[in-house]
Amino acid sequence: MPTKALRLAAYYLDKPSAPFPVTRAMARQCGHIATDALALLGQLIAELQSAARWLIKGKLHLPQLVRQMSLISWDALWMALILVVFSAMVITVQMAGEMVKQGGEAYVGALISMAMVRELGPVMTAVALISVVGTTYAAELTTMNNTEQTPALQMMHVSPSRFLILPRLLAGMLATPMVTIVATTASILAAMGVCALTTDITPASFWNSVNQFTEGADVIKLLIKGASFGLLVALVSTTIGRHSKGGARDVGLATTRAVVVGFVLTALLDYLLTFVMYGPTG
Amino acid sequence: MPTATQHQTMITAEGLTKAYDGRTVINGVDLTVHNGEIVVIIGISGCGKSTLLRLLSGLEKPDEGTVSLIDDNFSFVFQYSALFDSMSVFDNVAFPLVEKNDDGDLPMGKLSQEELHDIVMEKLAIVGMDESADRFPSQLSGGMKKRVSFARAIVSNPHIMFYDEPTAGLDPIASTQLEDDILRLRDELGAASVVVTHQHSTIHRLADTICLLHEGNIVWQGTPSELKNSNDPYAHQFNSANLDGPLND
Repeated sequence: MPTKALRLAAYYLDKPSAPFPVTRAMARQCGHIATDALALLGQLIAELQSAARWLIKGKLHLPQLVRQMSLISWDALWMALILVVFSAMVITVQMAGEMVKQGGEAYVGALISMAMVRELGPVMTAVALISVVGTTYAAELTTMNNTEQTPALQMMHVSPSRFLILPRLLAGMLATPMVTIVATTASILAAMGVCALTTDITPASFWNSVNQFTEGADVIKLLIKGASFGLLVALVSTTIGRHSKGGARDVGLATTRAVVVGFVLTALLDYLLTFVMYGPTG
Repeated sequence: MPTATQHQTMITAEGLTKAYDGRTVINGVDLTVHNGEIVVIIGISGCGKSTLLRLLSGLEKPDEGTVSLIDDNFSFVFQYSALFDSMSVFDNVAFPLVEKNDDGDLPMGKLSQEELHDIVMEKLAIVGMDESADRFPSQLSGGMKKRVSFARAIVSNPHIMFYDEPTAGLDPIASTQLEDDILRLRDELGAASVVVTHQHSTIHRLADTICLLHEGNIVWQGTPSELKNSNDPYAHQFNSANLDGPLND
């Protein structure tokens, strides 16, 4: 119903009687974006519901889950390591010298650890996941539609939701926290190395600072963020792939859409989770 | 599970209608297919042949009308083979059987790994692809993919088969080979088949009944010999490949 109302609004604003052509074009564009967003939201909810139903029935396809978990664990890990480790190293180079000058060397490890554990580790891992796994999922599922592999599954009485979507969602939710914690730990160690090489901060004092200010709850929150981002990225990319069809251009468009929507929703979810976990009520 | 007996009705379609974006593609089609019968649906491109096949197989839901199949043991051979490219030839053919076996849905009960292996290799041998069991779809020619797709379709001994352009894009020898396989399946299992094609050789070799589809309606129905000698303007134009006639209107 809201989709219909937006289409109707876009139609009337596009009529020649609308105040300015620019307004009309903008209204039309906004109408298209809004209807697309609402349609995608509906698809995301429907796919999530359908996958959840299969999970509740206990009809998980285990070999597919193992395959998808290994894809995320290995293929996304190296990208996550590069992004998260270099982010930590860059922050260390920019911050550590200044902190030492201001006499705050005791807090360098804590600041870097907090930045990585609370924010950059999970977010940069999600970025790695979108670029390596999200693109693969969207392209793979769109190609499966184009080459009739998805209808073939249906003809064999195998639910695409059970076989294609659920294992990917679970794999995203289970494997991403592991990738996040490995990449974040490596990034803190890398920052410690940079500090030792470029400042007078010893590894022991750096690690002491990390231990003093990083709590167990932070690690649990990191795992929650990792699982949430993993589920979100897998849901967005599989849903877009599942509902896309056409030719080579459509595979490209679906992949791009999965990346763009993945980034936008990850940013929104990150704010929401951070607000809940670390905000006034956290 | 019911088994097919002589002249048993396997597929009944009544008043099938389907429209896309306000354009009617299938318009009130009635069709009955019996066991052991091969019904070939013909017509010019875009007349709704593939849509009708998808409606009959349940891949798409009709806007109006009903389809009833004798049971859910049916298979579909897709135009572009639709093999899973992440799986080997063996795994592709085994897939429907493994899924049914895991769910306990096989009529013969739970199969062991050895039994599954033997059935898959037997079906691959029928289509002459047993030597290629370890290869992947990307390593196969179009004709080989079609044969693997056929082996996958028959692995659970279906009672009904749907074929979408089974011989399109194949060389004459590969076409004949596949047509032989389709006839053998009919003879050995008594399966009812619905074939969509516009290849003359396939129509004449396979069909027991031909349905000529035009603008979503069956405008002519008969046997291959009746098609050859028909004075019906639709059948005559299709058979003689004339440019002038009601099919172009």
